[in-house]
Amino acid sequence: MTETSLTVQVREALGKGAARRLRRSGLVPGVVYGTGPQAIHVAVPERELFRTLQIAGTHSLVDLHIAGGGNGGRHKVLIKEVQQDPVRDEFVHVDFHAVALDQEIQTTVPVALEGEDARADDGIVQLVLREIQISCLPTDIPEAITVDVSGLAVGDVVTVGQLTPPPGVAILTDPEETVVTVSAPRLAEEEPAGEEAGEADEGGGGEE
Amino acid sequence: MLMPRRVKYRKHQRGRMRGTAHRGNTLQYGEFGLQTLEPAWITSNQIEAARVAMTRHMRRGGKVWITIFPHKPVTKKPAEVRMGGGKGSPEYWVAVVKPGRVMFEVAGVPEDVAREALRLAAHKLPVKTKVVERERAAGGEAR
Repeated sequence: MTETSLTVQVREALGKGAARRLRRSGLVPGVVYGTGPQAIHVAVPERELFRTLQIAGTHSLVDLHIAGGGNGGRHKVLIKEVQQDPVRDEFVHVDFHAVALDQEIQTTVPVALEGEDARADDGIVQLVLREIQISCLPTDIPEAITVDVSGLAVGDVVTVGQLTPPPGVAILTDPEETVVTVSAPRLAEEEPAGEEAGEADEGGGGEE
Repeated sequence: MLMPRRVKYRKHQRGRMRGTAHRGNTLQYGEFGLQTLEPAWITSNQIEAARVAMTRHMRRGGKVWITIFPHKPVTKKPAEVRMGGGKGSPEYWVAVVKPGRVMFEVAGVPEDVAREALRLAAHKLPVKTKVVERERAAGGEAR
């Protein structure tokens, strides 16, 4: 598991005006919770946050150093949520969840495919479930749960129950849920996806 | 062509398209997607043309998802008709999209094929678009 560090500052000014000023100056407003009864409002340098997400993603522990203010200190945190502008991709807000290293937590980890290049047939491997909920100690969080797809044939299905979690990790997702399917490749161009349903009728009692 | 099977009301008001897409702005199924950067009405013809362009380019293999649906009827008065006399009759169907909305997704093909398919699809649409890519597992979020 990769662990990276991030230094943030406590922010005093709250509200949307202050948050917008912060974003204009290259900082991202955020919040740290799980450290005590009061959440800590912080400001994170945008570039640092980007770098941290590149290394740690949203599924591994980050060593968070809170500079300034009375709540300063170091915390082991998970990046719980990153809000981004859907068009410009700029960070809008970030949530850090501080965790105790000796208490089990519930989190989600991505599913990674393994052996896709070694497959013999040309069936399309489709990852249906991209994240799996697990319960483990924060130090045991795996980077991903891997699924070996090299031996799968067209029509095969892998469910959550068939996955083997790493030691110390319990999978919480329903064992019946499908993780990977292998479907036959399209041979020719399909018929149009939407069937001709004729003129749409007014249903029921019609316009009132 | 995509259209609803049954609707409660045949004619809709036009509405406005302010703001950005708050739902449907992330990839749900595929590895790559086509995201609109402008608000627009996408007609069922345009959706079909984009779909055909993508499936032709990808030939065999790969999968395409259309993540918008033309729910909205657009009415039109006949040619050379004076104003008045009530609202025109439904002419075609559109999907209302706002900036950020992912309209098409593809998976199961190499990146260059997927990007080219989406580029061809984008040429069938009346909006500026960008290709979005799924974040890599265990490698952090893509921006």
